[in-house]
Amino acid sequence: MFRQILFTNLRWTRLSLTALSVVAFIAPAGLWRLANGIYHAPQAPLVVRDGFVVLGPMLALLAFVTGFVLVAQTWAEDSLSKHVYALSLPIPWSRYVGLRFGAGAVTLLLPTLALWLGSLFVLSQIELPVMLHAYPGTLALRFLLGALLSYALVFMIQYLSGRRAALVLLSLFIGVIVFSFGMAFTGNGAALSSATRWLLEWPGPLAVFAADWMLIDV
Amino acid sequence: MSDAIRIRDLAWRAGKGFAIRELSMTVPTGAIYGFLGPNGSGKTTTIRLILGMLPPADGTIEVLSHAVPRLAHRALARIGYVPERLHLYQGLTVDESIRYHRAFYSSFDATECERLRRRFGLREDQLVGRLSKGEAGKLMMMLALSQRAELLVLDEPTDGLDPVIRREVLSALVEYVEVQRATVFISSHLVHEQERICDWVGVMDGGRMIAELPMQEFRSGIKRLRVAQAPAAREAAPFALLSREELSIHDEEWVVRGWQPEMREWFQRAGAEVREVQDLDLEESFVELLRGARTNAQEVR
Repeated sequence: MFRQILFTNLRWTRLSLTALSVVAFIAPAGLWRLANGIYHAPQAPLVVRDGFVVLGPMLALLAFVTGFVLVAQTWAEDSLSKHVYALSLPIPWSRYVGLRFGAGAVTLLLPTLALWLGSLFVLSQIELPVMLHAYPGTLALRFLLGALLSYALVFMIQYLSGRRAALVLLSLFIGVIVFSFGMAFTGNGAALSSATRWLLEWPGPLAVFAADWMLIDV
Repeated sequence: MSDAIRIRDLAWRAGKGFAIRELSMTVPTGAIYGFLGPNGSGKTTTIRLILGMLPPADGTIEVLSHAVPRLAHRALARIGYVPERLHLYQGLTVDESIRYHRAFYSSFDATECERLRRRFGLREDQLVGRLSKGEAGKLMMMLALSQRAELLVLDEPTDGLDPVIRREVLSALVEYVEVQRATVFISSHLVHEQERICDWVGVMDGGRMIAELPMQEFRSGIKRLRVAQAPAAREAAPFALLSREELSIHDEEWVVRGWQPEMREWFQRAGAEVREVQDLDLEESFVELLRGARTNAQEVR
């Protein structure tokens, strides 16, 4: 059963999965080239490191996009028939959703693997400046967690029933509006910065995106 | 033996618009039950309630002895379902669809599926999204029949199919029922098609069940009478009056349900006389039944 669900996930997302994997594979080489300067001449270690600090969030963005695209495509196929097929299958809806989630999570391994292999390939081709070390495994793991988080968030909103999804989105929208008005009236930025810290700093829900996405670091 | 489907006082509402009200229905095990009704009468919604896809607002649904929607998945393991529109994944091929479907049903008969695929002329490598309406209908029917289901729930399975394909699909269905002794619940607005294969009929209109009776009774029990000196009141009539229409000063045309020849006496006692009794064909019976139900509903309002 899981194998078939995984098969359909792969079948539906094969083009975007291929494209995302290719991007993930060449991303480390691109980042190295940018971080190391366009002249491909070894720079000072700190320059290289700073380059990765600046460019690292691009990988966070790629992880987010990967999770989002894979859910959206699966959802689109399932919702073509208004989920009639899924609902007519002889398993509880919660189990179906669990299987679909699991299958999607497995597909995230492909771009993660591509990023890891891309990182290893780049590292095999270059000579690291003194004092710097490579972290391809950590970077790949961070990418997987980021993609998984984005996948889980989008999946939760889409696979909730229409009313619940609308309620979640409405609550978020109202929360943002209330927060913005509160900020505008009080003129106090402390609340915003503490909310941002809560979201982005460990163990905040979005901390993985704000972490250091460093292939090369001290 | 328990009934295949048993619904009591079912209610469901879609916002302020359409609603299913006080719907009760019994589909005996082994029956071929024709579920008739005009477009928009609530047939598809009722089917979705039966399959547990929609939660009822009130009432009880029992399918193959399982309470629905709570245990719908257990009932669904024994149900073959063919919806009105293609519900299969359009990005898969016929062969991939078969393998996907098979993974969910332990009773799936792969040999029978292959036999039906050849019989229906479906190629394994055809993409489901590129199938014609007839081919899609055949594919859905093939999968439902290959499940070896005890209950087939078919929602307008032949709607929009050309006569040749319709005959192919229906003959495969009849064969299946003969061999498997399965119960069939078939929704349609094609009255003549139901007449050929069904032994029970339920008629729905405006979210209400307006009649449920054996096909034989439906076929022979609805008559058009020409009545002379027709009585004004119809209280205590031994039949259901569906409609009455004045033909002349003395004569009226009545359409009645549950007619028996000995009921002429009731008219005689009321000082009237039945001058002519006409048989209605199934389609006329269906139309008169709907007309009667709508007139009654207006009178109640």
